[in-house]
Amino acid sequence: MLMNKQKHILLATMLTVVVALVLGGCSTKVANLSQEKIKLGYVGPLTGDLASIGNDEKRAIQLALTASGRTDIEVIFEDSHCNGQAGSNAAQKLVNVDQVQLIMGAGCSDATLAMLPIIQQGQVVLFSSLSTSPELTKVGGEYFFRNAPSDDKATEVLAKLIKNKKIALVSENNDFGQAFLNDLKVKLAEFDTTPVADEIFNTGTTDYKTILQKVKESKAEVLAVISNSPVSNGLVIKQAKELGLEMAYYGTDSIAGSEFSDTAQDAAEGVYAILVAANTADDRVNKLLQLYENTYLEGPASDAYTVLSYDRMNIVLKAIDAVGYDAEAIRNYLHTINYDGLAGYTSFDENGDSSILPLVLRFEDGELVPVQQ
Amino acid sequence: MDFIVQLAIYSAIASIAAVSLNYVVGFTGIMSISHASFYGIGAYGTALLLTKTGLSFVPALLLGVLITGLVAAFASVPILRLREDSLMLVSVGFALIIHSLMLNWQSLTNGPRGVKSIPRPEIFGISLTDKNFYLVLCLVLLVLTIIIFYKITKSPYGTVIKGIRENEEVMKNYGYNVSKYKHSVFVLGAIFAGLAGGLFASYIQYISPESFILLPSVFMLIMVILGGMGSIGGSIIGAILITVIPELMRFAGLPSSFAAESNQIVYGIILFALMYWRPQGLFGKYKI
Amino acid sequence: MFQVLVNGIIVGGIYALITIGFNLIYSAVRFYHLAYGAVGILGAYLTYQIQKFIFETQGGGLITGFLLGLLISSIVTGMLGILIWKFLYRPLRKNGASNVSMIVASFGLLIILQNLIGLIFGQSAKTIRLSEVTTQGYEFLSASITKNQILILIVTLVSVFVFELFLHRTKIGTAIRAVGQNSQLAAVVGVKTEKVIYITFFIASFLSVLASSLIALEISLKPTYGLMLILKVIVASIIGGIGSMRGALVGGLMLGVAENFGAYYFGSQWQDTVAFGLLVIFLLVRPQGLFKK
Repeated sequence: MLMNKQKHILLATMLTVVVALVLGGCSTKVANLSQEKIKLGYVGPLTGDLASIGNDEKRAIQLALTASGRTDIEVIFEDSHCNGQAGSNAAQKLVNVDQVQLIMGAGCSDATLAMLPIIQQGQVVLFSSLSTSPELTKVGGEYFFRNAPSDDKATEVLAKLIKNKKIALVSENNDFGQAFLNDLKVKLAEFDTTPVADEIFNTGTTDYKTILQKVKESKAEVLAVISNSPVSNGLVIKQAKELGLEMAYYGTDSIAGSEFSDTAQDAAEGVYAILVAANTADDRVNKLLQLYENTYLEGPASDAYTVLSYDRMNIVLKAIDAVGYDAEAIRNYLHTINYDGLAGYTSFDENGDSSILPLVLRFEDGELVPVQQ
Repeated sequence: MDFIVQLAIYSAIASIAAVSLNYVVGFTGIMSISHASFYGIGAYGTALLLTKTGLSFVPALLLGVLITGLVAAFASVPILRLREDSLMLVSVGFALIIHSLMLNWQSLTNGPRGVKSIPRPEIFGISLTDKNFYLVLCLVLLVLTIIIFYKITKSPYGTVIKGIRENEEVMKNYGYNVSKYKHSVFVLGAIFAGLAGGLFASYIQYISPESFILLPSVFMLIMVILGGMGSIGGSIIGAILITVIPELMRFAGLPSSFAAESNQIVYGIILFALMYWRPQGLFGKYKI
Repeated sequence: MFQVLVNGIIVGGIYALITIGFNLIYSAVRFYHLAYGAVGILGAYLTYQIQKFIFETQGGGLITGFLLGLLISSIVTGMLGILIWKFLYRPLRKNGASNVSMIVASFGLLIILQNLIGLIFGQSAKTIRLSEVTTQGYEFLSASITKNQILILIVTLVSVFVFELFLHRTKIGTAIRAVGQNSQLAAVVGVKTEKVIYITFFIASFLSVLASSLIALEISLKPTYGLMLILKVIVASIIGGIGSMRGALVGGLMLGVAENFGAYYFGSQWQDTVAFGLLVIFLLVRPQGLFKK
């Protein structure tokens, strides 16, 4: 099957691979010994559809770390590529090779769900600031925590706001969109409200005109856009305005941030956002967003997740200071904490779900301001 | 160490897919980009059977593989009517259609929410949740795959297929039912892709349509091209390299501000360089 | 209903505009330049950057900035197109690469370009605007269409007309087709094949920036758009007939209309299925497309 020369290439390749792996493992261990830094892990979508948000998370962590002045803590950032295999490899590497006790992540459901068996087996804490799927409450497991609130809460708030009106729902065909959509429809049904339009678009769609045409024909008074992509949100609302649709618009977290604002620009005026964080009435939030802009020369793609990720790093620091860097201890500590964060007072229930409640904000004169309920 | 075991498992699974794709693309010359779709159908078939019915691992896996074979048999009819770049394109179209079905046929596949909590195998009552056992399972199946394809390629049947690769017209003139041979190659290749998919599903324990879009098919093709068209050993090397290199890059210590994109750029460069310097791949006998 | 048709025509016009250049290149070199979409998007990013520079630091207007950016970027990207042929594709050809090889190599180039864009400009979407206010489109016959969309359609129609004439009525156009059909024979009769291919790549890449920048006015810019566009272009060119200018128009329009009607009747989540279903059908039933070159 293989000639001599080819056998040599084969052997050389395998040798290289093995050596690289071993060296990789060794170098990390050597680094461990020499500097004795506390190593935390991060796994998130640094490329792919949610890359702009993943990068926000990363930068927020770096800002929090710098602000804390700690030099004994190091965060190892790994890309989940927004897919399960890469995410699980990233988690496995962090758990096995870097021997972390805590991983901050993940974002895309594919990666998060693929990581769960690994962190459960490795007995490592997984702390997410981006996963809002209600299903994670049940399947998360005892090592999973999130300060991003379950969409369960957002759908509750939204349903109360738009009940008994003629509603058009436009949702993204991904885990976030569909989970949110189904939950919302269930809650609306409790108020005897059925949507007059229910359109689903695939991730990466750029042309919403025909969907909006159907919305127009349904004579809806309210349009709720359910997508975690700031650009999609922006394009829907911009195109709606170009088509002359007159209705009240509601969106979710991804509305707060420069990516949405740049895309929708003035069409965003009057849009409501059900946000899980980024309460612009809180001065600390404004300071953080300003710091982000000063440091990185552009605003965050998503304010909400930047704030949550920032809080997360600080919560982790607090935990380490309180009980040391050990997964079991941190886990128990997190159940007792009530942290005054930029996203609100954060505590975790027995499922690792946070106490943060979504806010309702509205674009007025280009700024998101809280709405009194 | 668990990390290495996991990489080995993914490599073994990828190898099964690559060896079977090599049979279709490298050995027989059918430029199919839909292999990951069969991988996906096998994964979904096995996953849904494991979670929705009471079937245990072995029957679920076998049924999943069977379903994949049936779909491949149907799909091969339109796909194999074409040649070369048209075939490539139509297989891309097919792959995207299958992805769309996975995404939108919600009553069957649960759509974008995916299939969660897929159990690890339980064979004869023994629960094989341990990674090391799973690796053994994958390696056993990989060896089986290699033996099967090796024997086929060395057999008289294999000689006919080699002939089809070189010159279809001549083989037709000799009286061979070329179409029937190509169909059988396509379906057999798909069956093993489905097997790899089933193994993937049970290991990673969560699948969604995201895992099976266009890029995985491209990766599989890269594995075969890199390893060498027509070479079984080459496909395995290709599979290992493509599975492991991105993970090795994590250790390269690139600043995370461009590590992610650099990773992908490396793939692009590999593809391009291969086409330029060694279109037959590392160990290949045939050029693409 | 009529609005759906209009929507289809608008987006079809966008597809057609990019397919024109893609088909032009195919006419000359007979392989699929998959990276073409990414080249156009890269150019559009450059337009964005220049417009931003002029608007924010030089006090120029949005429109001036856009036009200047467009001009500079188109020329620069046109040259990039030539470089891509000269240093990347031609060596492959000289090595005897098959058509399939070229597709694979082109795909590799696409991945490289896409990620370079991500590295240089970041993953966050970039928006190009001609005015600070979003305006409602014009209403006619119960359908709405915006200024920008009308502009895109006009540019597309003009381009198809111009390039159809160019390919079939000018010396250079004939030379391009000759090189595409049989470059050795063309060289024998005195056609400077290299120069012809350079011109083709320049013009096509120039056009791709024009197209992508106009499109960016509609949908902003993300690094992944290069791949998204080229997939649609492939479908459009298979439908219309690869290498044909008229085919680019008809293919693009058919694709756009089919997608939108599919979205209207079956739901937008089936939009891609419609597009690729069309691809499969045409490849099986009429692989040469509607118009022969």
